[in-house]
Order: sequence, then structure tokens, then C-alpha cells
Amino acid sequence: MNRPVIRSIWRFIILVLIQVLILSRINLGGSEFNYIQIFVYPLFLLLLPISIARGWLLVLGFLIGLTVDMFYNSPGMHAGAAVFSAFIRPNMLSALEPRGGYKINSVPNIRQFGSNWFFRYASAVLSLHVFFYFLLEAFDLSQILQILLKSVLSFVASLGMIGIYMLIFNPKD
Amino acid sequence: MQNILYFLYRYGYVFLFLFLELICFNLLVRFNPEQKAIFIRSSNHISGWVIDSYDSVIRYFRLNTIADELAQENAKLRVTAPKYMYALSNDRQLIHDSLYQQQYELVPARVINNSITALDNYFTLKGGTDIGIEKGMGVIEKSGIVGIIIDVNKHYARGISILNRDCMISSALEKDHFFGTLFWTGGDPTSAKLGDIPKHAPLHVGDKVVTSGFSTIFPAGIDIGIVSHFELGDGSNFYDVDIKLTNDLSRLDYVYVVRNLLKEEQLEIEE
Repeated sequence: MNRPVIRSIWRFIILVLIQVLILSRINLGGSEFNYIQIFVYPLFLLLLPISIARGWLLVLGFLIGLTVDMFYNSPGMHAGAAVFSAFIRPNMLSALEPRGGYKINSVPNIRQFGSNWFFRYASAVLSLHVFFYFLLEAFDLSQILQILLKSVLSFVASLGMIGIYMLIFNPKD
Repeated sequence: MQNILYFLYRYGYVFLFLFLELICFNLLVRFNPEQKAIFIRSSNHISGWVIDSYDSVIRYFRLNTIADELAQENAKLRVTAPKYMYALSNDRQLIHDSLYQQQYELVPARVINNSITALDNYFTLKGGTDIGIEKGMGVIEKSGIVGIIIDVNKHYARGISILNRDCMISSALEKDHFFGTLFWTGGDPTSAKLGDIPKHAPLHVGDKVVTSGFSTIFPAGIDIGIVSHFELGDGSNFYDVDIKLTNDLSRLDYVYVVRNLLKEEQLEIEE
């Protein structure tokens, strides 16, 4: 097996562990203001190679979402959001395509594209991921204001968490 | 074939996406109590709507049968009113059963042709001797009278409507029982004239006009119309009365043909 695949498997495990062992226990808003949830596992999808087939991306999204769901006791919620993120990632990538296009083996991280580009890319995917997640959680469009509030707050917290992860590990591929 | 494969290769991920989301959705509503409750609530809402709409469409196709059945039932119920009975005793306070003998029967029928714009108007009913319609029977509807049968064959009956110059119907003021003759002179299909009301009758606009029951055609007391205008001509002993008809003859659908079971007896004695 080549290096990027093994790297990705490790990242999968680490991110899921961070998510379910640490972040799931953090309640930033206190018990009566549970508007903030921190998501870090979408980073796994963000950091997959650009050339990955869309089908694989969807399957991996489903897998990591379902794994997180197993610990969160919320079958389908994280999986649905992660599949959605995996679905829109290629569109976001082509929207943010630099002049001259992507190289065949490039990975969308800070090292290859710079932090400015990376955070724009991460924000685009993550915001939709978070919004979709809270949509599934509420399952009721009449609570749209609450959904939006939760999404915005959680998005900020999650983006911060992803920034910290990138600062610590700063992955090559 | 190649195009289909290419299409699948190119856009297969969309189906995969939908398929995976479907699985997630399924898991979501199956294992999360809150989402499950919302899902059941809203799906009941939707299925209720669908079933309701379906039912209203189906009912629309069954309207003919329903209308036929209702007309039958109405006819049955109508003739139980004392109006259609021959009173065996004058004391109407007592219980009906043994005091009334059925005098009139109603046969429901559908109007399949009708005119109101000519000077002499006719209508055609679906149903003739096969359902018991005979020449000379009166035709009424729920809120007024329609006309008289003049011709009948096995499956169809033809009648002159009250909007016909040949149609004269014995009618009376409901209040004082002064009687006259209803006739039509052409023109407005919502009004008719009432003649032969003597000038000493206390007439008011708004008085109700009903059938008199003197002929063998209609039972007494069927609504005809309301006095809308009246005047006494110079040197005349009879009022010239305009009547607003209670029913709308331009919208006939189901009517009842009145069969007088005691007609022969009355004609016999009047000969």
C-alpha cells in the first residue's frame, strides 16, 4: 500500500478518536446553551487527494460519518452530513481552482496551497457540513433560526479546531 | 448502450450520493426517536393529504351513482310528508301511520334536455314508461315545480316546462288559499304570472305562491314562487300578479315525477 493511503487510514483513526473521545465531551456553552458542537472529522475528507474518485469520496464520507455516529449514538446524522460534504467537495475544489489547475498528485493542504487558500476551502465545505448536520438534527425547517445560530457558532469553533490540528500536524500528503 | 455506460461513469456518483443519503435518512428516522417522531408526524400529514386527494378524485367518478342513489332516497323520504298523503282523518295532530293513505309517489329522473330561451319551452327526461312515467304527470324539483309530462315512450319522457304558454297550473296563495292560474308569457325565465286572483284578496309583495292541489297533477302546497309585483287593471276584477319563481329552471338536474295514486278516482267523480 502506498504512503498516502496509509496516512489517510491513520488520519481517519486519529480524527475519529479526537472527535469521539475528546470533542464529544466538550460542551462549550454549558448545559442550557448547547448551541456549540465542535467538528473535526470533516478534516479527513478535506485532506483526501484531489484526484480521488467521487465515488470513493462518498463511500469514505459515509464510513467516517457512520463511525462517528456509532459513538454519538445518532445513526445517520453525522453520516448524512459527511456524505453531503463529500458530495460537494469536488465542486468547491473546482470553484477554488488556482490559475493553471491542480497537479495530478496534489493534496489540498496548507503546505501545498497556503493557509489563505486552505481556510477558504475548509470554510466552504465545513460551513455546509455543519449546516447540513444541524438540519438533520432538528429535522424540522420551522426551527431554521435556531439551526442557523447553531451552525454559525459551531462552524467558528470547528474551524478553530481544524486550524489547531493543522498547526500541530501540518500534513505533507 | 455506450452512452448509458458513459452517463453512469460520468454521473454515477450522483446516484451513489443519493443512495448513501437515503441510507443515512433511513438510519436517522429509524434509530433516533426525535427524528422518528417528526418523520411519522409529517409523513402522516403527507399520506393523509395523498389519500384525501385520491379519495376526492375517486368520489368524483362515483358522483353519478351517488346522485342517483340520493335522488331515489329523496323521493322515498319526500312522499312520507303529509303533503303527499290523502288524509283519512282531518285531525292531523294524531300519529300519521294509520291516518294517511299514500296519495302521491315520486319517481326521480334526470333532465337530459331543457330549454328556457324559447317562447314555448320543453324538457326531456331520461326515463319513460319503464320507470313508471305517464302522460299528464307533474314534474317538480327540490325547490319548485318544473312542468307537466306531455309525451312518453319506453325510455324517455318529454314535458312542457312552466316556461311555456300552454302550461297552466292551478296555484294558490299559501296564506289565504285564494287560487288562480299560473302562466307564462315569455321573456324572463325566472318569473311567471299569476292570473284570476280576485281583487278582494289581500295581496302583498312577498306572499308565497304554492300549488293549489285542485288538479290531479300536483299535490297541494308545493312551492312555486313569491309575489314580486301586482296591479289591478282599470275595471278589472282580477289582479295582474308577477311571480318570482323559487327554482332556477336553467339549472335542472334531478327532478321528481309526481304520480297521483288517486287520480282515477278524482277524475271519475268529476266527470
